[in-house]
Formats: sequence, C-alpha cells, structure tokens
Amino acid sequence: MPARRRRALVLAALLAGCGGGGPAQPGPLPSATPAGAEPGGVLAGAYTLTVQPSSTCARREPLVYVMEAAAAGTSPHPGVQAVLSSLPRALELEVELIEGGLAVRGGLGTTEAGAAADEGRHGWIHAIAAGHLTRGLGGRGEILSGTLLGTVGLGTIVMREDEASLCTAEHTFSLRAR
Amino acid sequence: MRPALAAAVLAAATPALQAAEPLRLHAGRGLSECLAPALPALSAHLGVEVTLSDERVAAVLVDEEDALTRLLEKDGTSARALGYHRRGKGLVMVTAALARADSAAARGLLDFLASREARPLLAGCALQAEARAFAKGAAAYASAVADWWLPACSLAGNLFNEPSVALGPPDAIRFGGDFYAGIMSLGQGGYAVLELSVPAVDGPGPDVRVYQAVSSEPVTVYAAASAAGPFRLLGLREPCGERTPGLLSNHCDFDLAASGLAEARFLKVEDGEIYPCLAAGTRTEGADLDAVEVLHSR
Repeated sequence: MPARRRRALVLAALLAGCGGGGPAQPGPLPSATPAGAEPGGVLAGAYTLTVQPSSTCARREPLVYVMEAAAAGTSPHPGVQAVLSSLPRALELEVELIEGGLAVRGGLGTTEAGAAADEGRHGWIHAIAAGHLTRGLGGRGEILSGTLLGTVGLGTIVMREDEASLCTAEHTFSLRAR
Repeated sequence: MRPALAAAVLAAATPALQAAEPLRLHAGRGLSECLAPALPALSAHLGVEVTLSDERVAAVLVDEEDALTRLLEKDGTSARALGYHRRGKGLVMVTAALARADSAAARGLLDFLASREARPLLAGCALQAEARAFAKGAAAYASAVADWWLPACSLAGNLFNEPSVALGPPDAIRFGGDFYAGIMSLGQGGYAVLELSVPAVDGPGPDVRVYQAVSSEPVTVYAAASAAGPFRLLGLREPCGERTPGLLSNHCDFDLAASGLAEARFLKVEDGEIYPCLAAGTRTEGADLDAVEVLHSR
C-alpha cells in the first residue's frame, strides 16, 4: 500500500476516535421517498452528485461532482457503477441494488489525489453510500437523500490527503439526474 | 520451518481431444501414492479418465517459491491451494496448477480438486486446511458464508474473490508477487457475511477478531443475531494491521459493546479502504479477508 494512503488511513482512524465512545450506529436507509415521488427507476446516465459533510465536521462545504452511471454486473447481486465524468479513475461509486432494486448500497471512493469538485473545492471520500431510488427526470432513478458513512475530506489540489480536513462520520449525499 | 511448496501440475488434452485423451496428472513423491486411490472417483466425476503420468504433461514438481511464482505469473488464476501435507517434521503446501490455461477440462479438474466435494476423495493425502495449532484449541471461527458482494469491477480485477476461504482459522499464505492462497480481496466496498460456528458474546474487552492479510487495510465490521440483520456497527474503517505472531495475516479486534449487542452469530466484514477500482494497481485491491475468530463465547 502506498505510504501516502497508509498515512491517510491512520489519520482517518484517529479522527474517528476523537469523538469518544463507540462508533455511531448507521441508521436505517433514509426515508424512502418524499410525498408524491415514485420509488424505483434505473440509475443510468449523467448525474450531479452532491456530498454534504456531517454537521460534526470542521468544514461543511458541499462537494459537487458530475458523474456518469451505468449498470455493472449481475452476480452475486446486480450493481451500478458511477464515475466522475471528467476523470473516471479519480472518483468512483460502486453499489449493489438491494431491496428489490429500490435501493442501493456500496462504496464511494477517491484516490489519494482526491477529486476536483465544483467551485474550486477539492475532496477526498472513502465511504459507504446508501439510499433509496426515486423516479426522476425521464423516469431515471435518483437518490434524493442518502447516507454516506465514512470519511469525507476537504482541501486544495496541492494538498496530500493527510493534510486535508478529514472527517469520519455519517454524512449525506444526493444523486440527481441531469 | 518455512513451508516448502510442492505443486501437482495438471495438464489436459485440448477440448477437441477430450473424449480420446485422458487428463494426465503429475504428482510428486508422497502425493502420487495418496492420489492413486482417488483417480477412479475423479474420473467418474469429470467424465474423463484421469491418470497419473510423467509423459505428455506439463509435469513440474516445484519446491521453490520462485519457480511456482513464475508458473503462476503465466496465468494467476490457475493455481489452487489444496491444503497442507505433512512431510517429515514440517508442513508443505500442496498446490494444484494448470500448465495450459486454454484447457477447459483441466480447469474443471482444478476447480473440483479445490472444492469441498473433493475433500473425501483426497482423504488419503491427509490434507489439512489449517497449518497451525488453532484447531487444536477451543477457538471458534466462521463456519458458513451467508452472503457476499463484490462490485463487477473488483470481480474482474482481483485474483482472489472466493468468500469460502474466510471459513475456518487463518491460513493465508503468500507465494510471492501478488499471488496468495486463503484470502478474499474485498475490492471497492465489497463484503462477506459470515456465520460464526458459535455465537460471540460481549465479554471483557474485544469479542471478535478479523484476520486481514497483505498490509493494514482498514475494515468496517458489523454484527447481527441473524443473517437477515439488522447489522449493528462494531467499527468503521478500522486499520487492520496488528501483527499476529506465526501468521502471514495481521488482525484487528472488535468489541460487541460498541453495537449494544450482547450476542452475535453473524459478522459482516466490509472493505474499509474504499479506493476506486478503476485506479487499482494490484490484483488484491481492498481489504484482504483471511478469517474471523470468536474471542468470547458462551
């Protein structure tokens, strides 16, 4: 494992321990659908991913990314892959379809270089994303309010990951069709 | 004593000649005697005659890691660790490997030899899944896989995707390079849900242990009373790199008290590295699960 990644993980572990007590329990998947919204839809095409750091984090500016999603695999469970449109290897979401295809759960991660977001922000993410699908634009699936359990960091492009403001907690995210 | 490696190398005729040509299997000294009684059953299972032979086979007896690594580099997915075989005062890892990656029949034999179904047929070789004395004590490990998932990208890129290797005591070994036996690489955010042979209970200090190979990749661990959950978080992205004397794998411990559970029969071990699969630089991306152990039981 690269030394940079190792240092980032150590820092993340220390931050996780700073809150005291045991780890926060993940809640159930967030409320399925807002009133009038239809559950389901297929995650495919262009999306805007918005990551909102937890209220417990020192920095709470949202990270906004343009992603491209497509079906990915069927065994042992069907899944979806979404990647950063401008640089697929920098930010990647890999989720499995659960609850009969009405929800997703899986990993959202960046490399140690992080990923450039909108408004000049730069983010690092290593977290498990979970959320219910609702039908949005053109019948495509969207996640209006999901949970992101893990580490979110904010900094600048010249920083190493372990220099960024890292926060391990339960954050929120949305994935809206473009 | 550092275990030497012995390899039984399988070669097979091309699929077109499968009906006329037997599968020729070379086994080294000490293995051929115990394999011979199993040949009729192997042949019946595969529907093709399996014979021991020193001719017209890619017959290589390897007792050096470097030589086996060179063989594995030709096709890394074509080697299977069958278990440990006692030789003298030491243990030797018995590995079955293909000499030709294009033989479907040989792959079928390889997969069958590595399966639990084949274990009774290989009883004469006295293969042991565990290389150390863990099984002699009262230690309890996972006994069944309840569920698992790896993203398609990780399934395609990683070499070690089989969840059943996490059953039983830790037994990961490294052949060299990126070649291992006994680990399941969890990829980007992948997981395995394992049923414990006995329930873990909340005792003083840590109650369950996760063995993780390769480095100190983090894991997230959940526990539940049933396979359907609900799974309660024990630890989030915990680095799993504490040295375990005598083992390749490192370990990390978790306390049921963190979850509020008094007892748990199922553990979900999830990759905590969560690194983009498309940026993978190895064939063992994500945390590498070797085993789980119950530290406190009823």
